[in-house]
Parts: sequence; structure tokens; C-alpha cells
Amino acid sequence: MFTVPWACSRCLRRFPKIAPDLQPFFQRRTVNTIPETGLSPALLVRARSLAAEHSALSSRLANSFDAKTAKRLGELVSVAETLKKWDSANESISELQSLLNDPNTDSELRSLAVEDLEGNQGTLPAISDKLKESLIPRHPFAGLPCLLEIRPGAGGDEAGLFAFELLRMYTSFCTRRGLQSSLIKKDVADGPAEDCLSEAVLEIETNGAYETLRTESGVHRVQRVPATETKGRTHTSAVSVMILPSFPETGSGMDSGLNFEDPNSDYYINPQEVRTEKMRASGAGGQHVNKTESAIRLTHVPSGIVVSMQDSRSQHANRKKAWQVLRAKLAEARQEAREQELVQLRRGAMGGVARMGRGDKIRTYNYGQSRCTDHRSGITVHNLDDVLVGGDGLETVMDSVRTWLVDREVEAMVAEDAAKK
Amino acid sequence: MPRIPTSTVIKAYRQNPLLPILLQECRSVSSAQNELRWLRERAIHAWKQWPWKYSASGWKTLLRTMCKVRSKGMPLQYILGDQPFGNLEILCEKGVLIPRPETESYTIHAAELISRYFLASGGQNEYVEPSGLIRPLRILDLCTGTGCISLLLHSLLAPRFQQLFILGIDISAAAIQLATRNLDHNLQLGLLSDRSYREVHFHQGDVLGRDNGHNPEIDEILETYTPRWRMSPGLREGFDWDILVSNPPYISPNSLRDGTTARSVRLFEPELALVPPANMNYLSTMDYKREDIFYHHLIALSFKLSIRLTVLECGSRQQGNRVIAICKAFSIKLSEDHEWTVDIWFEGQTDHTDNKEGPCVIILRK
Repeated sequence: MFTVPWACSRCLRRFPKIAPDLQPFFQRRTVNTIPETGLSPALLVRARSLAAEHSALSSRLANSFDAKTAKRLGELVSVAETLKKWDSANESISELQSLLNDPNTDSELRSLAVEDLEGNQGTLPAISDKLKESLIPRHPFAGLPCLLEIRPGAGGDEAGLFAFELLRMYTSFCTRRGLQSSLIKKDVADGPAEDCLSEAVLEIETNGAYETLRTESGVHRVQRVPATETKGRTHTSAVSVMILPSFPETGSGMDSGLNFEDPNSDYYINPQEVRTEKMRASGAGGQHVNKTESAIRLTHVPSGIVVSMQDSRSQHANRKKAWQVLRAKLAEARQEAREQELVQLRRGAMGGVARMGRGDKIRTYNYGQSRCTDHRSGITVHNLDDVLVGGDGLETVMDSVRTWLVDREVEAMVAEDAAKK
Repeated sequence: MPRIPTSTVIKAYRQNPLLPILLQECRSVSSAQNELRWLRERAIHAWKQWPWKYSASGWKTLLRTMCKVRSKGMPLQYILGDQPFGNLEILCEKGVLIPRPETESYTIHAAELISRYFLASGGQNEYVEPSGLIRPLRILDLCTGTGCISLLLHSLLAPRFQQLFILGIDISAAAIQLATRNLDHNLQLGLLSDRSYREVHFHQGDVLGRDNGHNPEIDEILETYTPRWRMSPGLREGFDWDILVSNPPYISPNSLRDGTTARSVRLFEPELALVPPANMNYLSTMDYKREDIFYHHLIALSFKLSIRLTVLECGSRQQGNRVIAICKAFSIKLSEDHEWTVDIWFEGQTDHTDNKEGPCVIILRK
């Protein structure tokens, strides 16, 4: 061996063993995922029945047009197409297998077949993943913009400080991803600190933001030595993040199910049930006084949900925003209740299903070890700074959670189908 | 004014040394905190925009000055220079009344009423006269001040009506100037449609019709704004205007002094926009109250021009009832054979947050 005083980086790259791994280090603990051998028979049966429905519908649509049928067809088309791909891939694999097993095949053909088989087997998992994804019913709020609510939990001032950091993280995440966001509420806790949050609501106006950020709902835990700590002890505090659906201003052009002005809609709020309180002194108003109190508080009496808003100088604007937040909170609560009901049903069928509610701890940010761990997918990213500025690290975590969510859904669906039999 | 406990002042000081200064005017910590937040935002904004103006001192000095002025009672809107009104941003200046939140909700209510009352049921975005003539909807806004009602009405009605014509009249030259600036300002911000430049006008004039030389009487102004279609013969006189809205001065001289009116209003806002003038000697024979003078004139005008919808803001429920009485008196005097109804509407009527002493609006329909 000879020693070199300097090394050209291009030369270094030729020897992969010498060159350090430049890729960021992701560690993945697979805690609970279904075995990747393929699709479960129950799922396949479901896919087949959906594809059969698709072909029946398309033949019916060829004869007479019907908006409802067309819509259903649009929902099914991805399932049918992916299933077709899956079938053809499987077919070619079995063909190649038979070719290989045939003793009469000559060696040249055999080597070609082996190559082909490898290629096909490589694409199969991707196709079955896609099939799984297309089988899952779309979330009712998936296409909507969303509100992101941040509230500090246990941990006092430290939680407030970290809540502020989370707010910054999501704001820069939105900017990076090109999502349009605006801060509609920011309450700072009493005290001299300017960056100790007591509540914040960020509106992300881009359609589909709900689906993007859905993975963030839950309790975020932070472990670090706070700025306020004098003895150097590590504290653990929690901040809760909620993703709420934000309904468009006018319900026109929307699904009737999401039109909140329609009394038959699930998300309709009867104005009679909402108590409005204005923070103002009684007595003469109008030209007699020039008050600047514009705070408004809405209470939904049946559910006890309270929303207060005081950010704008206009009471009218505050009321509008408060209604938006109230509507979002109620819609989320109703959706949650519906999901809870489903879980109850499934629990009867398969005995205990893990469900991550908003009260569960979902992620830990550990400053000492500079890591961010998601407790659902089990992913750990060892670049906390990148996560906290809303960079690729955060995106990696969110992607892994999204896969996890899909797996959960599939698992539940399989169990449900199995229970039906 | 009840004294603020020292403990509250100390607590506020610990949070921010500027809060006790603001407490002098705001009287409650939460409202002082809010005002401080708005003032700080504005100070930082101004500092970033014109750094050379404050380079020596920075925005903190600017903020302290703003707080000091505010503690003397100067309305926040005059310090910041604007006030949100509906979706608009209305500039405010010393010498012109600041738009009130009540007026905001009345204007929004009025816009609802107008579209319900005047929009053809066929789904057309046009106002069609019973005679079949398609023409702009004409709105008269008297005592317009900053022009807030005219501008907000245009912003709310423009999507529903293809053609509008709104005229704002005020006695004060400063108000007319500011209203015109407000029109430009909101156009620039893109809060008003481009049509508003053609469709909203402001003109100086005296609603009370006193002949004092430099202010033209209201009749003269209305004559110059006679719509073009009137020129064609065969059309009835006196249907030029469809809607009259007004937020006239309605404070009595007594309640300006006796503590009903806030100190900051009394000291800093123009009395011209608050209290009706005294020297209306020709009315002395009648039984009248000084704070109601404007309503006599406005209702007379409403009957004379055969206005179909009149919306008038009043200071209190009692005053509202007096205005209704004025309407009835006029109807008897003119032996009006048209059917008309008069309603009282106040904020909180729908969501049951009744404030007995708050202002209300009188809605006169024909």
C-alpha cells in the first residue's frame, strides 16, 4: 500500500468502501407491519369485486350517461387499472416460472427468463403497494385545506417555547412545499418572553393540505435542557398539534356532504346552538364610544367547544375566523366520533385494534441525541436540525407515517373482511 | 372611572413596561395587551418601511411615543391611521369620525336587505324596475364621513348587481377628501372592484339645507346627479333614488358632557360629526329634540324622493322609537297612500346578545 498526502474526491468515490456514506442515516424499526409476501386473499377478493363493479359500470355508462355512475367509476378506475397491472405481472411471473421448470428450455432462453423474472419480481411489491393504497377509501377531508392548531401541554414555559418552535417548523415546511399558509391566531402566554406560545392556529389554504399534514395530529414530545433550566437537567414536555379540516367559504361546487350551509350536511352547525359573547362593556355604543375591544367568543352549546378570537382589530373579521375554527373543530370531532364507532365495530370482529388518537404521543424530538423518532412508524431521523426547519428530514418522517397509516387501514380492512365470512 | 388596583398595574408592568401606560386609557389588561400588539406590529412595519426616518431611534422609541399618545386618549385608529371595516381598510384622520363596529354590522345587514329586496327573482344580476327598465341601483349615503358605508356597500353589492350608483354626501370638506382617498386606497389594495371608480362618488353638501353660501343644498346636488334615463320623456318624476342610508350625528349636547360619551371621543373626534347643530331656529316652533334634527330632514327627504328602502342608524332604542314616531307623523302629514312599514333592527337580535342601550337601525320600507 502507498500513502497519499491528499485524496481527490472523485478518486475516493471509486472505492466505495473508503468513501464515507454520504447519505443521511435513517434507521427503521419495523414494529408492526404485515409481512410483505404479497396481498392477503381477503384484500384480493375485495379488489376483484371492485374491478368487476368497474367493468359493469363502464359498460352501463357506454349505453347511458349518468353523473353518479361516472363519479363512482372515477373512484374505481385506479383499483381496476392497478389490479390489471398486478395480474399481468403475476401472469408473466408464472409463465417464466413454468419456462424455467421445463427441462427442455435451452440455456440461452433460460438465462433470459431468469433476468426477466428478477425484473418482474422487483416491480411486484410496488404494484401491490399501489393496489393497497387504491383500495383504501379516500379520507372525506383529503381534498380540503386545513387548519393547524398548536397548543402547549405539560411542561409549562418550556412547552410554550417548543410550541413556538413547532409553529416555525410548520411555517417553513409550508413555504418549502409551496403550500400557502397564514397565521390566523397567535396567543402569547403572559410573561416577559415573546416567544412563549399559548395557542396558535395556522391556516394552510392550499387544497389537499389536510391529506399532506394529516400525519401530524397528536402529541409531540420534546426532551432537552430548556433555556430556563439552571442545573442542566433534561426536561420532557409535550405540545399537542391538531389538524382540522378548513371548509371553503362558499359551499357551492362542493360535495353536498361537505357543504356546511346545507342543513342536511353532516357538518352543518345550527346557529341557534352557538352562543356568541362579545367582550365589551355594556352601556352606550355607536358614536358615544370608540372601543377597540374586538374579541369574540363562540360556544357551541351541545358539545361545549369554545373558540375565542381577538387577533384582528375588526370584530367582524374575528367572528368570521372564529366560525371557521369552530366549524373545523366540530367537523373533526364528528369525524373522530364516526371513526371511533368503526373501531368499536372492528374491535368486536378482531379483538383490539391499535388506533392513534389525538391524545397519543406520536413523536419525540430529542435534542441531546439530536434525533427525531416517530412512535407510529418507528422511524428515527438523526438530523434534528433539518427536521426543525421543516426540511427533508421532516418529510421523510411524514412519508413513513403515511405508509404506516396505509398499512393500518389495510390491516383493518382485511380483518373486517375476514370477520364477515 | 374606577381606579385600577396597584397590583394590576404592577403585574402589567412585569409583563411589559409599556402596558401600564396603555392601561390609563384601556382600563383592562387584556385590551391593553391587544392594543400593544397592534401598535408594536405597526411600529415595526413603519420602521422596516422607512428605516431612514427612525434609524437613530429604532422602532422601540416609536412604539413608546405611540403608547404615550394613546394614554392621553388619542383613538387608536388615529394613531394607526386606519380601521378594518368589513373586508375594507378605511383610512382614518383627525377631523373625521372613525367608523364604528356597529355601523359595520348594520351595513352588512343593509346589503343583505338590499339584495333580498331589489334583486329580480329570475336570477338576473340586474335591478329591473316594475316598468321593465334595466338600470343601475342608486344608493344615497348621507353624512358619509370616511365613506365607509358607501364603499362597503359597493364591495358587498358589486357581485350581485351588474350596475350600481352610489353617492356619498358630507358637509365637511375634509371628510369628502378622505372618502375619495379611501376609494383610491381600497382600489389600490384590490379590495374594491374596478367598477367602483365609476360607480361611487362623493360630494360636499349640507343635508340640513341651511343656506350659508359655500355649501350647496342637497336638492341642488341631487339635480346634478339626475340619471340619464330621466332625460327621456314619459318617465315619472321622483324615482331617481332607490335606497337611502345614513349614520347622522345623533348625540345630544347633554350626553356629550355627562359621561355617556367616552373621553377620547369627546376630546379627539369632531363634534360636527357627533352633535347636530344648534341654530336651527326655524324648527323652534315644533316639539323636537336637538339630537333628532337630522332624522326630521332625512325622513322628509325619504318621503319626498319616494325612496323604497331607508336605513338610519340611531343612538339608542329610545331614539329609535322617536324616529319611528317621526315617520308616522310624516306619513299622516303627507297623507301618504303608499303602504309602508317601519322596523327596528339591532345587533344581537339574531344571536340573542341584547344590549338595551346600544345603537339600532330604523328600516323604512315602501
